[in-house]
Amino acid sequence: MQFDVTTMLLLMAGTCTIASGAMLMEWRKGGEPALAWWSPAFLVIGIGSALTPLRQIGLDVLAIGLSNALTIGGYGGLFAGIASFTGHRKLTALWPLGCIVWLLFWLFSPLSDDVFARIVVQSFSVVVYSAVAGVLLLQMPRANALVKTVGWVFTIRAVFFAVRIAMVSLSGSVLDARLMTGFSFTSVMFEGVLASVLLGYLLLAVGRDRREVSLKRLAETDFLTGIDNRRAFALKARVALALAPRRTNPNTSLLIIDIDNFKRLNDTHGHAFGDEVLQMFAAIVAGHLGPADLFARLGGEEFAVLLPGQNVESATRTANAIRRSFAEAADVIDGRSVKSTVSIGIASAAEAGSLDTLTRLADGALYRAKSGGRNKVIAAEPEAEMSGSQPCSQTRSAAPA
Amino acid sequence: MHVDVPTIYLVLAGIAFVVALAILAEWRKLATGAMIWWAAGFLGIAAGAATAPLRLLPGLDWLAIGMCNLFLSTGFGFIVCGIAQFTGRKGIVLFALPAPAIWLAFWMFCPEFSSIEIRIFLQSSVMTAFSFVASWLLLNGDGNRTFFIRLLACVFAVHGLVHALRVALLGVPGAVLDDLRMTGFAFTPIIFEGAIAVVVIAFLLIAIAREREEDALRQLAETDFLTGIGNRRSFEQNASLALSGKRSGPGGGSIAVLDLDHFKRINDTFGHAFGDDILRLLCATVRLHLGPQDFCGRLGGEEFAVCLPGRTAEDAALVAEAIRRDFAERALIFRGQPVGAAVSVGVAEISRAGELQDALSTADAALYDAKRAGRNRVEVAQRA
Repeated sequence: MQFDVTTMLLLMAGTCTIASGAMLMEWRKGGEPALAWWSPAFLVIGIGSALTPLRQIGLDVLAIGLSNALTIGGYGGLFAGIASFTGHRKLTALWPLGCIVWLLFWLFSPLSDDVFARIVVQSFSVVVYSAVAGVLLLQMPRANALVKTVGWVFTIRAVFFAVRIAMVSLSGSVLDARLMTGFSFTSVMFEGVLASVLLGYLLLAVGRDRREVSLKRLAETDFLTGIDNRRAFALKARVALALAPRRTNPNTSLLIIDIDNFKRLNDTHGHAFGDEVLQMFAAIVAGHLGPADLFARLGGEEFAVLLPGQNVESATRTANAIRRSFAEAADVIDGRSVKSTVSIGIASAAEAGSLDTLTRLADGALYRAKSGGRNKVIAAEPEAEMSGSQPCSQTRSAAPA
Repeated sequence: MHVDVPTIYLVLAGIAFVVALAILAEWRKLATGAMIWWAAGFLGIAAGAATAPLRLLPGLDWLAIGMCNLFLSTGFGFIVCGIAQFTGRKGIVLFALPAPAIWLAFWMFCPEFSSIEIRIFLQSSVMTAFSFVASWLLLNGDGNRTFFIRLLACVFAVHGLVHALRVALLGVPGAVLDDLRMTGFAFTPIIFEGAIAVVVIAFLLIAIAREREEDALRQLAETDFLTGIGNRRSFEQNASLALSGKRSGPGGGSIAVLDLDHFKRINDTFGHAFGDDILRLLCATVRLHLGPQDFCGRLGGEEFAVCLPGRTAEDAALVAEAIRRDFAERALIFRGQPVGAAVSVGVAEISRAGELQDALSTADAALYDAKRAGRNRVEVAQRA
């Protein structure tokens, strides 16, 4: 039982063409420009593979010269896509380099009749392209598991072809150059078919991932202010509250902030002006928050801030700082006397509290801040809020309905 | 130049294994039950393909023929079963079992087992039947028949036809030359097609699962979660597209901006949850009055917009007036509470070349007039 290289080359032509088609479709869906490199690269490698068996009928110009030029050019294209993907736009210009080196070797070097020399030149180009691609991917900042996997696949390819060079002179590596028997051919072709499928899949996944991340951002971001929306806040706040007991300071505080008399402001100065005030408010709050704090627009002129690791006192200080900064900045906007202010309700949990409870408490406190004359910060007293002394039951949760 | 079938099988084993790993990796992300079936299916195919060439060694026929075909039919059955699950069928195991069961019965009880032609006849008939079943499941399943789903159905249909052809041409000389080395046209092109089909099918299965996930995400990104209608971003996108005439129709039309009157007071009096329900009531009312081309979106807070492609301002004002009257009636008393909610509307016409943002602010200005004139009314902006 042995491998037949011609068969593998034809299979490889098929798998590469399929990968190319899949990438073309993915690219047309919009998104990753690297796919515009990868799709033609796979096609060219596929054509190169399909031409290779023609050496058995003596068409060496096609089967050796052109076939290797195409295959190496295709590896260059894969590399260029990786360079573009990792943000090294300038390196994409290197894609024809391997192909040019091969053509010079094929046309002018007396060694080009020697199958061992050809294997060394061809393998060397794969080693260089794969190694650089692997390094670019593994060095990429904020690379996820998928990107790292692609990086490792390229690195392993580089090692594999380096071993091929090292072992080329061992007996059995090339038995018959025309029929392509010997482990130097069979092992490389086997790896080639599997790698074409694996890389085809991985590169597709990488391209899709980027699009999904941007879509996810859209789904979680408030259109107007660019901060998290209510849905994202509910998800993230639940996680933060669940993790509270594991922190050194398990306190968590929730602020619910409402811009006072926003309706009047909108009616007096127009919606566009109201939007501007909301954006300004979001920017001011962001300036008072740390990296672990959550900040979201719940809807309309209502915002929420979650402060992990802050108890009532410290949350009240933060809230007052926000209130004062905004009152100062919103006194006069664009030459108009606006005198806009905010009211803030605070609720704290010493340990893992439920988001719904915190929201209800903070809402109640906010209500008291409003009825107490606005432009105020009030912290909830759980007993008072629970006793139901309010005129209306503001049972509402920050979670999506 | 010849193509060697044992080599195809060995490469196919590698490919199917890689593909199974890829699907498992996707499953970790997407958590679709169908992906487990698919991954298991490709592993079965990998096992079958790896054992097939062993028939070249003496005494291994039980493995290279009996088990090999059992692996292959189980794997294929699992893939069809995954498709049944993906397309929302019940009793999906029914799709997984027949193919291996038929083979096992044949292997155990049928004296014709030693004939290669009969084996090919049986396996290819089963393959044809189940490929068509897969194709049918895809074309008649839950959800959208997207491009990828139709393409995959096509691939299964072609695969079925290839095996039907294999059965039909079995009697022709040259079909089976050497059943050990698997030469003859009943082997070479068919097994080659099988290897390519495995790659295509795997790519497409991943594509349809991803696509479904992405659609759900896009839906989230474009929908206002309170009312379920489009949010501001998707409304603006759809409205610019519809009014520019790029998608259909001559372009141009009208925009109506709606604002719930005294919403703050309703919220303060009856509570936020009640207020949310009033917003939903307004949405439901608006939708009742829209034509097939029209659509609405929530701009934020208690403000909504309606896009009426191809309609004049007068036309749009009639629709807006109907919405206003209907809503005032329904919201007069809501859930036994005397709410008396009402809506003010501003309408503006927009030409094909007009900017959506301009039309929105013109409609906004008209809305402002309606508010000033006492609320619960419709105002049409004078054409600029």
